[in-house]
Amino acid sequence: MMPCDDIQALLFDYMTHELGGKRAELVREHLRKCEACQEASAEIHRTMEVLRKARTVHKTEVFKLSQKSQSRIRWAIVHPVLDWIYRHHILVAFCVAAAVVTSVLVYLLSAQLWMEMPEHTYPVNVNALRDGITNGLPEELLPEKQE
Amino acid sequence: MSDPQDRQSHRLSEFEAIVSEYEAALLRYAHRLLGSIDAAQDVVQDVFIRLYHTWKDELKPGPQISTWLYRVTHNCSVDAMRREHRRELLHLRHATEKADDVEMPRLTFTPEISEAAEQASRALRTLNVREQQLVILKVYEDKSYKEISDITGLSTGNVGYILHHAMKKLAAAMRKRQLP
Repeated sequence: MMPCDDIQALLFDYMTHELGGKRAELVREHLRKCEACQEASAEIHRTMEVLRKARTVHKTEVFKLSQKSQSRIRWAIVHPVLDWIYRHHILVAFCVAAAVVTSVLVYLLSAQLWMEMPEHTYPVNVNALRDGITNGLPEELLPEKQE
Repeated sequence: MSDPQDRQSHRLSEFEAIVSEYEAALLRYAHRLLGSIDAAQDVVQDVFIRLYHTWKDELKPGPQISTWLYRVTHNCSVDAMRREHRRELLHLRHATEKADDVEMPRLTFTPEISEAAEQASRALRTLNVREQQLVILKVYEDKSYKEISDITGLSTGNVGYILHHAMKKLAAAMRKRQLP
């Protein structure tokens, strides 16, 4: 005779008709003689009854996709690209931000704006230049002399 | 009407037939996992959209498509549960920093159902997600071990083993509630 532990491990399979011929017969024979396993079987049966009662309650509810869900499905079928963007909006936002930052960096690198800084800077007093005071400015930077 | 348009409209009508066939079962399944009809609606809507975009074969009701639908519904439900759990934890942390009297947010929505259903619902919540999935598929959806194995990727032996332990846990949970 099989030990009770082995039989009890098969009880749920037996009660849900998942057990093949010979093994089911073994379990059936054991249950005829063993009170402990009969009690274990009864407990599984009670548990399943409670679950099945809940199933009956749920089955009476009508489960149907709402109008909003149906419209969303139709929209996703007609616009697959937009649907993909909607589903992966964080990834798309990240890629767009990365593209913008990369473009700005590439522009700055190619334009080399920081390389065109003048070597010497001169403070310019426009009134002094007009009065002929040059302050050591090179000739090419002086305004044209007016006759 | 040109050929591609014919194919498109044929595929659309097949798809609508699939939706009518499986929407109730998938909504029930997702609802049992998530405990919220709104969350179940979002999940099942996503599942059908994925089906249309990724299913290359003919859209005909059958065991192959059924297995695929249940599997994807489960995976999307688990993702939704994880997102909800993270959001709940964030709210909890924010709330405890702000005020003393905070009502603990419910992690799952419990609709008004009979006492037996409420008892079953409470007992099911003592199981982990995998155990819940298998119990729901076996007891509520009447799937065989073979079908459950196809949906979950577990072996039939493993399915039986997990279900055996899940039923023991459920029995213990129900016994606990009945003690005075």
